Amino acid sequence: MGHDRGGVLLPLPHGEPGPARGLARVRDPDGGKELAWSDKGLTPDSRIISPAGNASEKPEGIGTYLVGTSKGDSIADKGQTLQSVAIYDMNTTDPAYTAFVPR
Amino acid sequence: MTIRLLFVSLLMAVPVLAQTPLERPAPPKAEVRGTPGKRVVCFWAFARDARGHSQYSDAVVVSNAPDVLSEANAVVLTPAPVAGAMEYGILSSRCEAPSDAKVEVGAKGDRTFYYWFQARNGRTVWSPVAGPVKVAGCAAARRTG
Repeated sequence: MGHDRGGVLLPLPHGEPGPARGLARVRDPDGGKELAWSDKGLTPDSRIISPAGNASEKPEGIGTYLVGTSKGDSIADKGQTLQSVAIYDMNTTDPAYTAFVPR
Repeated sequence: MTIRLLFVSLLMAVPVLAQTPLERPAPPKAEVRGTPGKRVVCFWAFARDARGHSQYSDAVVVSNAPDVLSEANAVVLTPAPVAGAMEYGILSSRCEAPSDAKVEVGAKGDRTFYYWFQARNGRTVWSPVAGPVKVAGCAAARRTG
């Protein structure tokens, strides 16, 4: 099974922009970087989401978190694509990650 | 005899010292370059040596990051030194959805749909919703199982 790395799609089936009513959850089964979505009439209320990103969440597991690396020099976040890494917080309270191996 | 004991003690101490894990770094120093904005972004630092990486630091929260990051408008992070580190890395909570998409309409019709995008950077952090992308000329949506 692939990791949930993709984005999501919010179809609004009645032709006018408005509040998000649902989404199609996108998976990336082959690990490819380019993702595509197909709207085949998904049930709008198939899933409720909270659209606000939570900036205080710790990076954990596999995700696009890495701004860059250096030998000690400053690293600028200038909007570049973040690199995908696998990392975990060793003080994690999530038992799913206690056996996680960083790479 | 004393010198010999000292030498043996040193030999035993070297592997122990070599196994000492890298210290957890302090949060990186963050500085906004260019025009500040209203974006809130968290950054964490970690150190790395030949054995792997350290625990990452506490977060530094930048609450005035440029709204549109660029070479001129950026957040500059300076990692705090860690003894024995060979490399440092900076992690970010930044997550952005694509603002546009390539669209191919399958079944044609007279309906117009709007699409919003959201990205996820890992397990839990979702970007703000971006869009909508307006797609005209679509057939009516049908439900699938």
